[in-house]
Amino acid sequence: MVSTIQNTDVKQKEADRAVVVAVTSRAVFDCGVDDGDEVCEVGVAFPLLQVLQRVNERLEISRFCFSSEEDFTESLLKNNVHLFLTTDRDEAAQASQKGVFSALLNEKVASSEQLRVVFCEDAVIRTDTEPPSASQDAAQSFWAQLGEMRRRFGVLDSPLSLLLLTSRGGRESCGAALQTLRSRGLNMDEAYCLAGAPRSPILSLLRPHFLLINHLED
Amino acid sequence: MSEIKLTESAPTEDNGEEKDWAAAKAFFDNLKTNKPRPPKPRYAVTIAVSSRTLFNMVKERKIYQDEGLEKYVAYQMEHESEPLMPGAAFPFVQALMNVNSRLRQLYPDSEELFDIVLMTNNHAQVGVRLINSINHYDLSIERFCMTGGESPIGYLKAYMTNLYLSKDSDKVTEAIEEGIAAATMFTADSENELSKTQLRVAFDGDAVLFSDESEIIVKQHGLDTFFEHEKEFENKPLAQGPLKCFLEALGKLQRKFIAKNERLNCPIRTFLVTARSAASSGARVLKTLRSWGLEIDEALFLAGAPKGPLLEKIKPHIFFDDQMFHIEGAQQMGTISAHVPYGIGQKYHKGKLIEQPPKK
Repeated sequence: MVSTIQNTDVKQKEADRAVVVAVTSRAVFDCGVDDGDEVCEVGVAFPLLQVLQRVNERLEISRFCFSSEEDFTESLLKNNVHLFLTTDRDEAAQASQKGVFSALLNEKVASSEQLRVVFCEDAVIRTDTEPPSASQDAAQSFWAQLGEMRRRFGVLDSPLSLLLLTSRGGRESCGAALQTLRSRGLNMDEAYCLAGAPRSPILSLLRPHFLLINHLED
Repeated sequence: MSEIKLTESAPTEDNGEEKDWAAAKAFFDNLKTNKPRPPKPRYAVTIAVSSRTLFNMVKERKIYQDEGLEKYVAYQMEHESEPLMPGAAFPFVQALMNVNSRLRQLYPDSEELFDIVLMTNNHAQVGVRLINSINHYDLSIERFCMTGGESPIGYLKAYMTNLYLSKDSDKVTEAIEEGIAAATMFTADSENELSKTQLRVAFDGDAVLFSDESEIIVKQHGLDTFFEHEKEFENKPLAQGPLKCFLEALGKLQRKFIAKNERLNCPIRTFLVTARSAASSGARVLKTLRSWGLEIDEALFLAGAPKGPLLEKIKPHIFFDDQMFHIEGAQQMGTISAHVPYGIGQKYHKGKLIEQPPKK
């Protein structure tokens, strides 16, 4: 059973022109022990929402969807969500299987001045070798919109930054990924090629808001 | 100062790290090109080079300064199939690669190798030209950070860097303050022909391998006081300087050749080139090195004579000194030099105190 509540304080955007982002409430607010009337603490996604606001002038949460665990993917598809953000790896995997492009929210502190999106190597390479699945089509469409958004800003002082992180292959893989992304309209701002070096020290420096990885077993 | 990394006998690793490493190893082992795979960072001697030290980007730099970032990035993208010309650190990198191939022959399973990382705050789109250029010369550089404008200092630590070379003295100073051996590279006016079979590294002593404690005495109290002091404290080891750990790392690799009876054929040779004189102040230096358990292959005491002519004979791939006066002298006679911005020497030029502008 899904119930959708519209936020009447906010003008609803045209569904086919906007990038629809769904964020689980658990990521926006950290309610801890539910005391009923208490105002919740801010959650992991809060800096992200603040920074999306910068990109978008006024970020308005135009719709709230409450659904039970079994059919939340149905509500995502119904609302034509382009990107689903969650801190729960299983939720992301489930949504991805149903064809909704999903990403994991970074639980550590992220920048509140610039939206930083990290593309992990597998996300780029896999879509070339395997036949496109529903989730890959969703990915392509999201990336195209992201690329267009990035183009509206200059090289310097952009509120949106695109980062490539290749963890396994060497410079040829990273170089190929840069070119592939470019051919899809995504010009990366920063690139990090690890070739097996430990990932977490680098990730903590990159301060991404979210990581785009198709292969969620990583 | 940066700690020497673990030897291969040391255990304990992070599980996530292990997975990443195993996957990368598998990736490289499966490549058809037989490219040597990069070593495990925690055991390697990691050398981070900037794009402007690896390649000659003088023309491009001018475009950036005269016409701004957007035009610079556009220019680089337009020319990205044209390989860049070699820069000051290029011969040094090639010499490191040669040492690696010798090490791999003797120790095929060891991760104790040089790991060369490109550390640049260039934009990733400029990176395509950098990667193409590295491909063109087939350099063994498989790791890099293109930070798109952010300072690379944090990444230096994340990559466990043992030595950082850059053209930007501010970044180098910051790195040294963070305890990472670093130096600002200068090209030579002419090009001495350098060895293709042996990595040759020359170091100044005070304020490079050692602290600047004795330099302070010379500058503030003169040479006579300095000689007396050094004689009196001959048996007291000097404190370490910013490049001591790098010498230590080189020594660790040298010992691997010695262990296989390759001392005479060792592809690494180190030199101390100091203005100290052997008779009056040299002993303390040699005793300090001995107390650290470090060896230097040749110690040359100049007693104040210019370093340029001697370096021309030694032909190192890189020469580290804290004083610009010596850097310039070396450059003029064909030696690629690297300035270490550390210690009291920075406040002086040719023996005279540099006038500091009054603080506002």
